[in-house]
Amino acid sequence: MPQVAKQTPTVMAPSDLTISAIVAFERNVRDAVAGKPDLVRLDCQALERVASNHISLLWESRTLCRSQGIPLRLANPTVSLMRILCVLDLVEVFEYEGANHHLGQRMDRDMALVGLPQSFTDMVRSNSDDINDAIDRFVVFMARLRVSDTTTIELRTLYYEIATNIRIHSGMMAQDQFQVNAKAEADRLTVTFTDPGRPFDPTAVRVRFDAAAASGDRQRRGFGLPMIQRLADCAVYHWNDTSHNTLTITKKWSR
Amino acid sequence: MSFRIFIEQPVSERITTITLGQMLDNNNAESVVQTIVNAQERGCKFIIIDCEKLTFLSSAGVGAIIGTLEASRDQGGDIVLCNVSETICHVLSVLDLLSFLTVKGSVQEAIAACKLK
Repeated sequence: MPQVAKQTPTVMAPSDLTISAIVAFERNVRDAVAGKPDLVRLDCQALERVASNHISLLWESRTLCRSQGIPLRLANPTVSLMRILCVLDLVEVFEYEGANHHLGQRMDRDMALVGLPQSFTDMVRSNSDDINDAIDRFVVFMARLRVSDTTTIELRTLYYEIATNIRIHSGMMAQDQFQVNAKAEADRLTVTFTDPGRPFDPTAVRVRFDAAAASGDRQRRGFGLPMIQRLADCAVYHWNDTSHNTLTITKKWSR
Repeated sequence: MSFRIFIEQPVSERITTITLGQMLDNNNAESVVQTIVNAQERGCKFIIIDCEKLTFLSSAGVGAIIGTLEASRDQGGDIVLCNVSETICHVLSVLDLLSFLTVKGSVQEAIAACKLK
């Protein structure tokens, strides 16, 4: 239920994006607007991990308030929320108060990236144990970037499938190494795998995957390429005589 | 290695459960396949795979399930996944497997569904 007086009701923005939480939030905003208040506050102190659906909820609330001629103010916006609003060029769309409200006036795109590690480099031996250790290091890197759980599992799976292809198909020995470079930008993560092994282009053939057909054929292998092709937003392969195989995958992310 | 340990526990002549560890990948997928095949050869129609601890599923893990599924369904049975987390559901959905596989909320729910068939 909306808090405090009917003049300036406050509605808590939900951190969880379950259906019930969204429905409750939307109902509370409608109830607050129905009272014809002087101002509606959305308290955003719980929004530490901000997804696109959070922004949609804030935007829809603003639209509803504006349609009734009622000001909307974001109270106690978190630094994470302010960064996302900055990246999306939405800072000036909202009014703010409370903690971090001053960031609305002076945060710019560069400040949105302050504190983030932006690159990651690793050398990985081409064996199962070392690959698993390397993935753990990569997951730590993603955690520092505050990547969502969904994007984390996608990237972890991509890393595993690509590294396993290198291990199995490159002809490299267990102690031979391949290189992993990752670059974090405002809206994407780019990861490049470079190995000195035999030519192998996982992008060469678009693998059509049919679960029913695969099950009917009792197929147990060959699911790695469809997973790579479906998980990566973009995958580019190069070969040259110096660095041999270079596979660059791009993943647009939510933080 | 402890992340990949899985345990099979028969429920009845027709139903058995396999409780996975945190990972189902290239290191243990073949062992899981063999366990499923052994159960099917014993006459188990329903194999319930408890994914409560599972945090990572590779393509080899997907293959272990897809590659053995038809043998169960051909005999009027099924391989039923249960306690599947949101992240693992997401991985399965990438390959459009959620609508193809049988997924239940809990082991009890899976056993009850198998007993009805």
